[in-house]
Amino acid sequence: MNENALLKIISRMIFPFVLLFGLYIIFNGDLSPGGGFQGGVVMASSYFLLYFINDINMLSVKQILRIEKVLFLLLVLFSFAGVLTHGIPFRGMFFSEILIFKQINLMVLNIIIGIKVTLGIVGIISIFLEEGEL
Amino acid sequence: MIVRILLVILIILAILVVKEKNNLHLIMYFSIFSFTAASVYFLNYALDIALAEVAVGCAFVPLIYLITVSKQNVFTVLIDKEFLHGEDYQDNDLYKKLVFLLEDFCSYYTLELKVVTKRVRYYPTVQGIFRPGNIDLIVSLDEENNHLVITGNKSNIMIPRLDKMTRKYKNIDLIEVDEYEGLDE
Repeated sequence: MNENALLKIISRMIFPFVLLFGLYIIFNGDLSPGGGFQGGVVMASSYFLLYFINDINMLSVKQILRIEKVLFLLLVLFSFAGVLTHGIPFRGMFFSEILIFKQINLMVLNIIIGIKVTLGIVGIISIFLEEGEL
Repeated sequence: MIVRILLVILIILAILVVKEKNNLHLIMYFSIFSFTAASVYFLNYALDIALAEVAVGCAFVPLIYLITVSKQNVFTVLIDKEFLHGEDYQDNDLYKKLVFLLEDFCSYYTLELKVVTKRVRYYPTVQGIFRPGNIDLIVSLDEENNHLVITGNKSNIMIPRLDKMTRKYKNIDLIEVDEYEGLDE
């Protein structure tokens, strides 16, 4: 879309670092500030460095929406999985009193939410970008 | 102390966002506003909200505005009536070049071309002509050098792209003007 060489080169250079920062926010979301939503938005903005400036597109909108639906179902199922074992939702499946299992539970939730938010925002801006060009 | 200074800067930036006329500058002011708000949150120990504000307010929302501003679909061109007054203006070499240039440009960026013909001389300033009809370009003839003069608004995002295409033609000049300048200059 844009023909400026400086923008292109710098955006390609900082792309992996922004992606890594997003992953860092997601994986440390249970103990430090951050979490699925914030990390997901940072990861999505790293994807748009490639798409908006360099015109490299790896995913189509249909694929994104399909994966997002599956992830939403997975999120609901994971949240209510505790009902089957000890009758309480939102607590994880096993040993909900032990700290390490609580952490694992939160981390899995953060990862699912992070991927879902990333794909959602990528979908929104892809629809915006591709709207005029048939 | 720092928080109070930042809050004053927030008020100033909010007024700038409302008062600004240029779309691209407005988006940049909005981005700076979000960044300042995020630092206020950070200094008040709301780290989660600061992260979300940086990610959404500084990157996501300005990007959507940027795409929307750059996707205004209709490209309106005002052609001076005095250029088209003769019987055989369609055989004019400049006219053929102009039509070829505009159609090429509009098909490349998937724009819808809309042509209006009026007498440009009645309008004293550029502001009086750009704003009411939402006009992107004004085409008029410079009779001394037999050049075609295209006038565009400086804040329009399509003008630099058109400038790249017009460089190939020797008889067509593109001028960028501010909204408050006179037409004759």
